[in-house]
Amino acid sequence: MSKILAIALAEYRSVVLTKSFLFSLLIPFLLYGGMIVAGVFLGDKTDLADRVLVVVDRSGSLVDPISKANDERNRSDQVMRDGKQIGPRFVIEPYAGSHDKKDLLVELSDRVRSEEIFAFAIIGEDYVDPEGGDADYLEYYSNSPTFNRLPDWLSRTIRDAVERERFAEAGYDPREISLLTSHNQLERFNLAQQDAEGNLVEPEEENRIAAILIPMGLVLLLFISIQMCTPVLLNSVIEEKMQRIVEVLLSSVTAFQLLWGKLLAGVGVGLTFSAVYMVSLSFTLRYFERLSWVPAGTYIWFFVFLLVGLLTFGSLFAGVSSVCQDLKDSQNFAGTIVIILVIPMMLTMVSVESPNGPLATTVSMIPPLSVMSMLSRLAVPPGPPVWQVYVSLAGNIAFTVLVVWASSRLFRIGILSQGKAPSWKEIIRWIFQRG
Amino acid sequence: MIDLNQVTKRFGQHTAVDAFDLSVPEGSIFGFIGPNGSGKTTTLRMILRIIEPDSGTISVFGKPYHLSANNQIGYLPEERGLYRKMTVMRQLVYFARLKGLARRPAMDAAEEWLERMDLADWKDKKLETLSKGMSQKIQFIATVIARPRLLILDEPFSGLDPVNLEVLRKVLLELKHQGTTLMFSTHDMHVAEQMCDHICMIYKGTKVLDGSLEQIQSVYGQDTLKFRFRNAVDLADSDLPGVSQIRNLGRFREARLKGDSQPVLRKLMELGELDHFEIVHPSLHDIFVRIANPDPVDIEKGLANE
Repeated sequence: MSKILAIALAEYRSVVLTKSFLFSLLIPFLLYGGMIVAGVFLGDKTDLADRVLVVVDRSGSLVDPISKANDERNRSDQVMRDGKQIGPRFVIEPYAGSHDKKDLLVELSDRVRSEEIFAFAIIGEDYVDPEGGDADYLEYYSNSPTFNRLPDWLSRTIRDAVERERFAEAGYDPREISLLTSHNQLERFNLAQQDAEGNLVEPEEENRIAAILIPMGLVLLLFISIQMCTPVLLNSVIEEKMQRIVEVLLSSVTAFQLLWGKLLAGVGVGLTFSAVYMVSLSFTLRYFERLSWVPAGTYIWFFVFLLVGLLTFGSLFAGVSSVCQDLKDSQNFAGTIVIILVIPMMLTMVSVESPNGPLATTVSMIPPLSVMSMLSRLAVPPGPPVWQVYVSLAGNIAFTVLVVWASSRLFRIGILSQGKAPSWKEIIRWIFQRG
Repeated sequence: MIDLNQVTKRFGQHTAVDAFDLSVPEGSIFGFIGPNGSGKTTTLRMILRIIEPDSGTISVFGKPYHLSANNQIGYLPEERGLYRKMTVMRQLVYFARLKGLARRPAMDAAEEWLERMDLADWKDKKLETLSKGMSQKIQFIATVIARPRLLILDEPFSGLDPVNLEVLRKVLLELKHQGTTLMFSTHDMHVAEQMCDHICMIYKGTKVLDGSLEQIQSVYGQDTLKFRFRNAVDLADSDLPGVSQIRNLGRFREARLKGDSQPVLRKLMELGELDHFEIVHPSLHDIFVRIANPDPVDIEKGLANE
């Protein structure tokens, strides 16, 4: 056992003390830390510059309501809060230039390019008319396609103004119509619960973004963590074969001890990587008071399935690398294994949207695909039935034992093999070879 | 110390080692010789249990089943292998720990050996910065760092310059005096003659020689002439009666004597100014060549590849 630990420690250190690994551990601190720092120091100070919008109103009746609505917006809490500006003001400038569309397009586009104005909109002559016509259009031109607040606000404001005008022309009272058709938006909540004393625990509002991001993020982290152990189990084995170190090692340890030493190192690397990310995620959620985004028990299940995944894929990588003669060989074989990892990744969205659907349920029962698939189901409240989790886990553990056994058999022969890489047939023969 | 009984190993259709018997006495220096591809490395790997024999039994330290991971065996493989990016010290401590040493004693032993091999200044350097000779010495230290009772060395002297060869020879003899049993394969017959108490030759997977140098040479008798002229003389086999395979070795010439030496001596004196004439046992080198590349005379006498 001490020899296995000596190998594991040496291999573990050789990976985690590299610059690239240490840098990968810094990423969550930079990412989450950056979010906190930005929240504390920057607040909503970003981009408070006025946005000047030139409105070419050919209908003749909309520029005033737009200006009026904008005045209200600029005084609202979208822009000002506690006497402090928190969002950009819009400035509406009615157009009084050329009537020729081509001329005005050129002129206003140049003004946008020179940053004199932010954008311009053209409202067609027939835009208010319920019957429409050739000039029934509303066009928005800007040089900032990603800034949506202004066009979204303009679209809503013009729609309201047009509706009011049409109701008035048809003889309806716009205020009455508004009262009759107004209603609050749908609000989504988690299920209600009772505490030990029978009191109702207020249901929490459902967070759609968190419900999708958390499972996706956890599955991605699992995928990367498994990939992180490949330097130990793929590259180092190949190096030891190519540099002829393996014969020296095998005069001191058995192939089985060598495999387990490397496997433990790989597991250690994967766990270290994940632990840093999970701890930093947990601290960040705590800071933003969003701990409830990750369902209870998810952290534990994550590490349980990660451990199983690391052992399964780690031993697969080790077994495969032992039969390869160079890095090119190993990358070809490893590609096949990575596909097994990628399939459940691609199905994650299906699992998240319909965690108890037939596809998600079936895939989460098939090892080794189920490592990721079950994790994504677990991360979506309320999670799958408990028996399914245990069946999936048992299946994965059984599969892991099988893979570790086969890989150690393969490793024993493959590690000393030289020359051309064996065929799949030979690999299978080696696994079942006696002695 | 080591006993092999009817050991056979096949790789596909090729029989690498065939019904091989071997006994290595404790405390001896045992030379294992043979041409390339004769089965030396396969035999050594089987002794170490790196590979398993197809049949036959192998016992080391009197035990029939031992692990390749035996901490009391040090092994230097023919194809040297060390971690190029690892520092010398870390490398030695790692290999020592794999032999069961705790960290502190491993570090002390590494320091001691580096000092002894004049490599102390290189302990914090990566292996890739060392010369080939230095790397070979590091590999040797990694083999002996855990003070093994049995040392198995596959071509330990290959690639070493004379200075390093002498350093290694001295260390090996010291280890022998401390009670370590040494078994090594070599192509350097001169080294084998000088160092080995016992020599075994394997050829095409079977044993063809086994015993002390004297015992081996006695089988062949005194059938070798060693002579030298003061002046330049051209010689062919046909010039001398009862002699074959005349070889010019530079300072001396050697020839196989098939009959009486007196007519040969007389003829040589006629041919030139004879400076040196000696009848000797064949050298190990000679015996090796005779077995690996036999003369029809040897085949007749049954001395080739027995």
